[in-house]
Amino acid sequence: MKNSQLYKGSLNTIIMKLLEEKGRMYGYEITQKVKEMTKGELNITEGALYPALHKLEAEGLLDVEVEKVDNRLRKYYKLTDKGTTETVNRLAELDEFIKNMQSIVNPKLSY
Amino acid sequence: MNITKENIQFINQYLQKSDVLFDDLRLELIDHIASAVSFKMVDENLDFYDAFKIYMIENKKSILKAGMVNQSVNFKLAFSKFFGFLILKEVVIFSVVFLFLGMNIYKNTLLENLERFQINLMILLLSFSILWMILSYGIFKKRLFVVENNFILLTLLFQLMNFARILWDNNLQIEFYITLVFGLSFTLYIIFMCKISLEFYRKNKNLHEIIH
Repeated sequence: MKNSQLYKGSLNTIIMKLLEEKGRMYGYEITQKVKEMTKGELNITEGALYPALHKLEAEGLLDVEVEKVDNRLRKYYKLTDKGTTETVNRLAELDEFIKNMQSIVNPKLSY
Repeated sequence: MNITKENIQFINQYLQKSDVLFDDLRLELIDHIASAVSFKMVDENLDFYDAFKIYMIENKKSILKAGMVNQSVNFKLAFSKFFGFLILKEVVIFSVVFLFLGMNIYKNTLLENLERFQINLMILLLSFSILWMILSYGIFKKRLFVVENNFILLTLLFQLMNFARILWDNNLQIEFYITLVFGLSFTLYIIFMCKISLEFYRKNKNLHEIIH
């Protein structure tokens, strides 16, 4: 992941935001969607994505559905009710964080 | 471009040989690799094996990292799941009743047969573990990370009990309470494992027809 330290803390929120928009997604789809939205600037590696998905699943924020697709099984992730509520909170936190960073890094723009 | 059944078996074997041991983790990585490779085949007009080779040269490290087990993260996950189970209303009621019966009605019987009770507890744990292995490896022939990960808690509980017994070996009263608390913990752990396994199986029936 590019600038991994900066993005690391936001990975879960990014995943939850995408799932909120798309309803349900599978691992590869998430990596490609992020790549597409950031025009290739942000590349989520498999080594970061799957542990994050499993953690969110264990916390009860994500639910899974397994389906057979082209000779293989595919695991889709979607937000649970608890996950949907938590997404709103985390997005608000992230928004606040971005605003604070903006006021520090570029004070003129924040007004 | 469609990936054939043989291609999927090839990816599966590759991951197995690379020590991605858990079937549920491998299932996701197979789909991930197959999706990426099929796009590469179309975009760069390659056959499966060339596309696979190029993709794995670029991404092997990250793919294998996703299939590995991080003990510290896994312990936190297992512990938080178990803790979530412990605070369920039914579990709290069961625990209170269990401790009440143990400390009052059956106290004398337990005190007289403390050693036998401890041996029975060990037999219960051993039988549970053996039955578990027979079901997983012998009948379902699957290793599921989501479920197996929780065995880390059993090891911890077992070690804690041995440590506590050594520490208070000469105090019958304390040994009684320790045995009772660990008796409850092991019983709850077994119920917890059965519950999450059943829930997992119900939700993921498809996993049991995974590629061989």
